[in-house]
Amino acid sequence: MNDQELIIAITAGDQKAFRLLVDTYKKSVYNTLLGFLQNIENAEEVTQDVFVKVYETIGSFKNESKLSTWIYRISVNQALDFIRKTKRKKRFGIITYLFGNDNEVLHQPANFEHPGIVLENKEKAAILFSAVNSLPDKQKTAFLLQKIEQCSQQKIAEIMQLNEGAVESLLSRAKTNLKKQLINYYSA
Amino acid sequence: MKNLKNAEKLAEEALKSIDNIQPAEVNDFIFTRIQNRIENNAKGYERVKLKSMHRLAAALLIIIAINIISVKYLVNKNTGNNDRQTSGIDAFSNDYNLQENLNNY
Repeated sequence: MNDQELIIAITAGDQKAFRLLVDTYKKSVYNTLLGFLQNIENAEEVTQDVFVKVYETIGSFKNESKLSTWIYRISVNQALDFIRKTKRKKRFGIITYLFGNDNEVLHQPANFEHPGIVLENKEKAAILFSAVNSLPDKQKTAFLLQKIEQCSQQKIAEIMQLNEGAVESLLSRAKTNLKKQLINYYSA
Repeated sequence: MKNLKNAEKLAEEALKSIDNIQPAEVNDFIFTRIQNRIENNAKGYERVKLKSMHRLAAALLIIIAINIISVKYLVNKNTGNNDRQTSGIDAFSNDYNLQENLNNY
């Protein structure tokens, strides 16, 4: 079943087709979300949200991009929305973060252990994930899609609806910013 | 200086730490949970739809009732005015004995 047939079948209410779509894309969606949210329960919850949204809006999908690109785009948007909502809630709650001059999160406990990282790299990866949190949304998206999902620059450009040059620039700035933060962390 | 070099080295290592990341496994029951959520959303939508239908019906009833009351009030008011107008004409004709005069012709 190709993408077009899958979309038609799901729009017609075919549950088997929808199951096929979930089985095909669940790993990509979940792992993308895990990179953004750095919490297994939240990633699972938002994965469900993504597929519910896909199911409810697949009728409006135009074949301007690949189905996978569209699903990645929904995942990224849902992840960023979830982070924004959580931040808003925290702002009204007990302050547990140390803020910098621009109200930007400078330090978060480096405690996220991605299940797909070898034991010897777990500590370093946790520090890196913590630093990724402070990147601007676009840099974070480009960096995570490249590192977690091994997406090409062209694929990232399609997902983010940018040109490849812009993605290259985002990736370069993301790496520079991360390196700066990590040097500060290790030299402190 | 040595400290900075060491920090740079550690930073590089941290940047490379997720290079060969393996994809995490998804919960086996994810599809069932998605299906449940879709069903709950549909039920919730039906509930909201029914609620808004009830509200719409109530609003329509109120508007119709207001219209009926207004029409009744206006009709009563007009009838009252006509009576008053008639009695005014009667009083005028009585004052000038117009009724009698009319009968005389």
